[in-house]
Amino acid sequence: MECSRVNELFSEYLDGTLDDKTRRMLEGHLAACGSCAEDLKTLRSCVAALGSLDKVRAPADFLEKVHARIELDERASWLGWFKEKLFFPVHVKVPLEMAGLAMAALLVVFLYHGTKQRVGPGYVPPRAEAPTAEKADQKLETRSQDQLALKDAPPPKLSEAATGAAVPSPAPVPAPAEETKPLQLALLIGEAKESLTAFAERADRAERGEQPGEAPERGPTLKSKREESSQPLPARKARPAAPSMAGRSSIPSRMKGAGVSPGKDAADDVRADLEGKSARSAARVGNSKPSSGGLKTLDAQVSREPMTPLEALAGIRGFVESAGGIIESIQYNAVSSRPESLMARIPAQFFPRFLDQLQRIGQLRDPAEARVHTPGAETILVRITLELAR
Amino acid sequence: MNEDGKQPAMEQHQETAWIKAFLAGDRSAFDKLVMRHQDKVFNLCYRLLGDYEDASDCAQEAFVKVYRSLKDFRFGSSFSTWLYAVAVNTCKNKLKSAEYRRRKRMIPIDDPPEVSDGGKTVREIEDPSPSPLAQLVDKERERLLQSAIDDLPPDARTVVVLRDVEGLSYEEIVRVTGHNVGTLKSKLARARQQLREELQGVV
Repeated sequence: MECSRVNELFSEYLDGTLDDKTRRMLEGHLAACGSCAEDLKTLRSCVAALGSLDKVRAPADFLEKVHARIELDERASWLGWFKEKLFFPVHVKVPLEMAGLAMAALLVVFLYHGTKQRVGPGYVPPRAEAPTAEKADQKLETRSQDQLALKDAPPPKLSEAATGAAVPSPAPVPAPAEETKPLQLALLIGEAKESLTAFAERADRAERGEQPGEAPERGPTLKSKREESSQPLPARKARPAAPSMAGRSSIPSRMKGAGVSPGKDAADDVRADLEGKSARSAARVGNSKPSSGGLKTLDAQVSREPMTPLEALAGIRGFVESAGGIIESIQYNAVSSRPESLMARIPAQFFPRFLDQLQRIGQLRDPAEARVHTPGAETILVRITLELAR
Repeated sequence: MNEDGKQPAMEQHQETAWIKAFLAGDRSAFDKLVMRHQDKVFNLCYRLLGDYEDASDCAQEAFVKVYRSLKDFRFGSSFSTWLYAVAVNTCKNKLKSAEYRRRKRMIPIDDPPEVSDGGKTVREIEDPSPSPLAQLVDKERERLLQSAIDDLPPDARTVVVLRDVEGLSYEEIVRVTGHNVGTLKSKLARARQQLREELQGVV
């Protein structure tokens, strides 16, 4: 065995991990080679010296230092977590040109989309917004004099007037399971078939249970109305909670109230007062100063007076409520603030009667078509557009 | 671990209980682990690095790493072996750091004075009871030994310190370093050979 090979085995020989055969060969060489024996002796001393080195002890405050370091580490780990989340490195290298191109493409798409919305072929001008709540209130207060005649009418629900959107109502109409398209009705109201006076008269008769053909004992003739107009305005009577449309609508009740106090002398006084004043105003206001025009003129004018959209709306509201339905929304004209259309939900069983009642207010464009509706539906959603006859 | 590098089963059992208590939220259990192993870890770090401050820094860092990752500890292995592995890796990283290499190239012309907490400069006075000359010889001899260890490559230094200074068995060194037994024997033989050449005439 050569000396270099023997030197390589010294370490294992000292640790006692050599197999017996190798150990015997090594010991045989060491007995013959003084140099290798000396090297082994030195190596043994080195290993012994290493083992006898002093054990360096940790400083006394080592534990405190560890505690402080752990605290620092925990704080740093929070900071590191925050930094990592805030400035996390991008794992995929994106060339700057590519990023710029993507941003430009996004910008183009965004701009094109915006332009298309404004001037594209499919552009539909936005509908006039329904008046806001405040505007609606103001407009209702500043109506023209003839519209003030409807002051007694229950104002449209704020939410309806403000948004024109479907507003859930506590009315006992069950909501359909799925929304259906509303039945479109156009009501010509420029040429009223029936004056409000006559309309109220009929409603009164209906309440009293009289037949339509019967002449009322003391009907709301213009004469009696004229006579009543000179009397102090009676307090508005609380109407019985009859399901009658006239009982719910303010217009019939107002008009009816104007005709409940007959008296010939008073009528004569009024006749004198009415001279030179507008009959139209007298008829509309009812409880205010009578206007010009003789009785005949007044009678004629009232009977021919077409309904305004607001009057028609009040009438329709009464019909809807008498049928147990609800008005879901009302669309007003943004400029004139007149009601243009309304959306109502009517119980199907009362819908034919509702159509008949509508024709007292105005003329339906296509009444036959209006009677065709979804069979089996519990309610009928109808959009009534108020058209002014020219 | 005892002198042979073996840890009694009783101690291992106790350490396992401390680790479980720590994982259950008892931080004082970790303190017990530190107290038991701090001297051995500190000595290992000192012998691997050859510098007291560096040893203190690395030993603390090793315990912080253990504190952080104790939840991942597998109870099948020995805690002390795992702790040694963490300490050895921490020291190796320190040895590889540019700052450490730069400092080692500088030769101190005098030992810096130690400063106490109050700011008053103090110098350590050794107990000369055995014999001043003998103390001096021992100190010089130890300095030469440590210097010879420091001259070894990191891997060789590790196996020599673990085997000859700390007295670990081959099996434990394999677990700490990750070397196989053959590699370990080879590295240890070369390291010892280099030490013998350097320390000829000293030991």
